[in-house]
Amino acid sequence: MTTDEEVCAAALRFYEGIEHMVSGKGLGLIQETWHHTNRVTSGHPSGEWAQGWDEIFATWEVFAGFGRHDRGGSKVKSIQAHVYGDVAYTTCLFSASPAFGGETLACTNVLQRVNGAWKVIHHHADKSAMMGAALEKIAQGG
Amino acid sequence: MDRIGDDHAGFSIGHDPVRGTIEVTAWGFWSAEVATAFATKVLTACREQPGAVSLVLDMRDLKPMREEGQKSFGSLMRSLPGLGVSSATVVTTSHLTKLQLVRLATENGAGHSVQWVNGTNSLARNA
Repeated sequence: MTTDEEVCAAALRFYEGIEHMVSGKGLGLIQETWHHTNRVTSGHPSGEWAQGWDEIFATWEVFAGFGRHDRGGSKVKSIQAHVYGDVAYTTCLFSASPAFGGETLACTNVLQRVNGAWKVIHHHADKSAMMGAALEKIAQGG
Repeated sequence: MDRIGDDHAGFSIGHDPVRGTIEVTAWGFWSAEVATAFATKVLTACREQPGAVSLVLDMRDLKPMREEGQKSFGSLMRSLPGLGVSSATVVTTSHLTKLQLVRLATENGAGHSVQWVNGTNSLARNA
């Protein structure tokens, strides 16, 4: 496996974690794929920047609160990696599952090689009004 | 005014006797200590002002909460019917924070007794 392929595999594992999360399978994979330090950041389709793992994990918990077995179906395509030593970034298109609005978002992830394993240290996705509206409808029992 | 936490994360509680309003303002990413104090302090403030007609929770600058904060906010929502206030309003800006609070209000039986208002947060207010 080339280094580019390793980075893509790590990023895809993170997206597998998102699929687990929206399917009601919890946050285990997301926890596994992130670097847990105060120097990680995340910007979601809804909300503002989250700084540090504790704050970021709280945002994933908000999404996980909407997870259910019939709410999966997210997809990732066109992933590309660019490696600079022990740091790399990926770009991809993420299609949210229908229950989460179904919109396709451009996403960037930055990863760092930590003890030989690539871990996510930054995540950013396009804003998605459709996702926000879908989740608000679910939250209000719709 | 009662103030818990610091400039980075906390909440304050004030009482406007003219309007009969208890005003709670929350900000930042709460520690467990701040989160745990939230429900207790707000419930005490409501009980100490039996003439208050409304409770306003200004959560515009609050970040999504960890477990302690969720428990605390849920506890407040469950206690709303017994507080004697005729209305409860939650003001939010962050979509994620609102989603979390709406879910917690719904799960704790207060989904229909809370009025949700979209505001602007400090970033927009200071722009």
